[in-house]
Amino acid sequence: MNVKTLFLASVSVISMNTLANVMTSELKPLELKAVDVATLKKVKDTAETAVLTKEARLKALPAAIAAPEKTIKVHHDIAYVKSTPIHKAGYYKGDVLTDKQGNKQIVSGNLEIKHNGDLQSIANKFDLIILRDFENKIALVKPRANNTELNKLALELSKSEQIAIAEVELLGSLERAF
Amino acid sequence: MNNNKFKYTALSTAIVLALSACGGSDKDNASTAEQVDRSPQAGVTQLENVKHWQNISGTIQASDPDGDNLSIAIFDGETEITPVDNVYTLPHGVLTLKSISTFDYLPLTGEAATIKYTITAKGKSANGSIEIPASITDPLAYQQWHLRNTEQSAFSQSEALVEQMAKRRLGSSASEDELKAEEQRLRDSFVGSKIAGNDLNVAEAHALGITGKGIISVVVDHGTNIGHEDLSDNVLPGRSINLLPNASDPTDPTMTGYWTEQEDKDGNISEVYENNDIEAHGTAVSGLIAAKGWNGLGGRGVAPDSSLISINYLDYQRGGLIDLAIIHGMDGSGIRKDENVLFNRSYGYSPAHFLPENEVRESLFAYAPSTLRDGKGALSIVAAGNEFVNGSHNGDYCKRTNVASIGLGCIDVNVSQASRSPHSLTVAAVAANGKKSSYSSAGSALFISAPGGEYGAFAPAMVTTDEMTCLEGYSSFAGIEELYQYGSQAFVEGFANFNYPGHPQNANCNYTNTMNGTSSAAPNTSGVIALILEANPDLSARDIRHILATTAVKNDPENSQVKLATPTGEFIAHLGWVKNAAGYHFNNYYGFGLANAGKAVKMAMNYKTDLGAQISSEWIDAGSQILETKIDANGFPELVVPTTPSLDLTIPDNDAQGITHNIVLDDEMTVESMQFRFTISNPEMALYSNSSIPGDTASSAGTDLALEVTSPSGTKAIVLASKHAHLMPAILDGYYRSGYVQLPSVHFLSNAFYGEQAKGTWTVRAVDTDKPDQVNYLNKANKASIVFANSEPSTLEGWGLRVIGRK
Repeated sequence: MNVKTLFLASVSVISMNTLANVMTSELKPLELKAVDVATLKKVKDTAETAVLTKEARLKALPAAIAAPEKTIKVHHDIAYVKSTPIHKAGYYKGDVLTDKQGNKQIVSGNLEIKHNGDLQSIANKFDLIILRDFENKIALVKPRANNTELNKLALELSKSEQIAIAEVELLGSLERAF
Repeated sequence: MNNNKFKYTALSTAIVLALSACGGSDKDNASTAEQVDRSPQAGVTQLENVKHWQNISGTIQASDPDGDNLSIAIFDGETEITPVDNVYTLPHGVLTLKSISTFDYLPLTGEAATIKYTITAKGKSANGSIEIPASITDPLAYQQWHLRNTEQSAFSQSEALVEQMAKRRLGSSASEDELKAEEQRLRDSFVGSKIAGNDLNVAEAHALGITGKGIISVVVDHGTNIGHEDLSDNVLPGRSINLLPNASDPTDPTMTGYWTEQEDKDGNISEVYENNDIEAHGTAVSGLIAAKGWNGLGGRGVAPDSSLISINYLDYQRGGLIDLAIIHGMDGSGIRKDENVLFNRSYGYSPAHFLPENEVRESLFAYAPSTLRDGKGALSIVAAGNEFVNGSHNGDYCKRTNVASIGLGCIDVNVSQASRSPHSLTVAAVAANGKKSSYSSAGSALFISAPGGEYGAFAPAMVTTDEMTCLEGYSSFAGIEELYQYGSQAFVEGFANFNYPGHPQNANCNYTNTMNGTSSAAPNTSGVIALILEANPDLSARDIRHILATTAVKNDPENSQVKLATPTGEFIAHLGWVKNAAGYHFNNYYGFGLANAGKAVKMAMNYKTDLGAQISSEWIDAGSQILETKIDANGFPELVVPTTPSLDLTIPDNDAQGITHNIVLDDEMTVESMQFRFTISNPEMALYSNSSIPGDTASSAGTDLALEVTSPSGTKAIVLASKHAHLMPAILDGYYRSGYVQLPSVHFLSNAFYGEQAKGTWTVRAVDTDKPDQVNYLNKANKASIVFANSEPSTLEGWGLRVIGRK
């Protein structure tokens, strides 16, 4: 049992709060020098202010093509392989993304779209494969071409009159039990 | 406060009633002067199959051989009970005389009892009785304060706990007298933590025979133990879904663990399956809605005859849009479009910044409330979050600022799209004394409240189902293991109490008394909605919202305002209870107040309101609202600043008056909810590269900001209270936008104006409430971080609103 991990679940966090009633712990003072606002440097590079950044040294690949010596884990047909840190802008299938809260998400390679009607014509126009046309005009599509930069494609799709919004599909455990 | 007494339709008939059943011939013969009047006769009525909180009808064995008028007196022991409209309130239940010979009895405590009565006619009397056996019940229901609050402790505040805590606090050198004094101090601290009547008034609904029959609750959560002894009868066979790939039984989501992402010491991320013996969240949530009633096992759900479907979404969030479609009831979920269904969502994500709208997600949220139940709509009941005191995603910032101590929440409900969506019904938690549960997140997007309790040791939490056996769940060897680091075996046994394997009322560890959170408030509300739906299956999702808002009880009625002092005066950051122009009470802690099942079911049974079609107005914006981006030469989406002039209203720093701006609405609409969006800039609201600080550096421009809106009717609502953790710049199209505190990518929701007319002047007031000292804290990565006082003021560039309601 990995207690540390288990306590990530929120009810267990509440249990921790129960324990806080047992253990009255003082927060240690943090002695930090007062900052001079005038001396602070803002992060300006837009690539570094993306909500999700490709900091993880991992790539998800189809298991069939993954190099065994670099493979850390295989889950179903996806292999997670060691990778050098990625600085190339944009999202590609298998990229592992991190946000500032430490959440990790994987780029599935698909796009979630909210369309205005004729999905097939959209697919034809943007060379997409329709994976599933849901109700409420929501659809899951993917580009026919491999190695397509998905974020840019999503932005392009979003500018189309036929599409209200397009988002890169991300897989990961973001939501927690309250 | 909820008045827990039952109110019955008054029987205006007099207690003295003519008894004609004994024949007219005697009456005819009575004309003979010498005939002797005979005494009335009374017997024993033996009730059978009495169910706790369920009315049972019976016949009093009373007659008069001469047909004389009878009067009746009812006794509790030797004390005669005075009826109110023929309703006799006894210590164990309520007796309602429908006539001299027929009655209804409602058992409240479930204990065996004898009701003695005397009948009298022409001065002659006879004694009889109604013999009531112990009710068919659920052995733990008497501790479920959320159903009927009689100030029970729900296995918290035990003497074993008191004894062990005193020993722990004073140590081994303490004298007997010192220990006793400490024990008493602890007992004294419990005073006021439980107040009778602060409950869902479920018993009144159950007494009407409404128990959730025919209603399905879809519990989207960690997997429910669908074979649980107190749930299995209500679980729809073959309808639950295990989303884990390669599950041996895709219809059995019983939790054994979950997939998650972990980073090793080299920074590699891997996806791992965590076996989990403790987590029982889905099972506990399911039990609050639909633990089977009157089966002699465990406790009782709010809707104990309703049905359950479990989907273990929290065990596997790797299924992408296909799984999201399933958990929202779309095709592939197995949920028929004609079923009476609701969705319980006791989960979410509440970071220390405002998450932008995602239109695909909003379409998912909109689906069930607009399409299911043959278009009448199925509600999504969403937990508000447990972030009032401690934010889960911002390190120890909330602990260090400790804004909860002045009555303000650290993370606002509006940070999350799921919580602020007008398609969600977002629920806050209350404790057993009717006040806000300490952790329950606050904000204008709340709709209603329900019991969630505290933590189950020092104050009551929820008594509900747990994973079965002492090897799994909160009540298990694994569940209490963590406590051993704080004390001995005796301490652990005293502290865990009901959850400790071997507790006499929880021998198999199939139940727990420490479930809590808005995770509990949501299913308690779901249970109430299941009752409403059974009472009137024709109601639309909006009708149900209307009933809940109308019948909610103004709990914690003395809840006070929170005023923030600035050099220019006070700003009221929490308004307490506000009565709007349509007569609805609203509070940012509680929404419309505590759900009341009895009142809601009665309103549902007699529902006549026609809300008409729901419409949403267009967004009405003023000033310069930055709504979109364009791709720049480097392929990045840069902000498109509109040509419309900015309002350019400087929000003075640390000034209670702030600035105001008006938008005039011409549309005649009745408000159901209001959405607001803002463009507020501040040059210091940025991400910083600060070599002297290893963690994050942020401006207080976000934490100091408060937003108040006044409706045309003059109702004020705090859309954003100050002092919350708002440590990141606004987000649009995937990027933090330096220089902006808020962008219109966040749609703030307020339910405070429900029922008011939208036409007229809406006023926003934007206030910077503070010039705080620098806050030093540890961020989530445990790195020293700071929030410095903003030296530049913020500017309201633009704002907008949208009405969701009806003509």
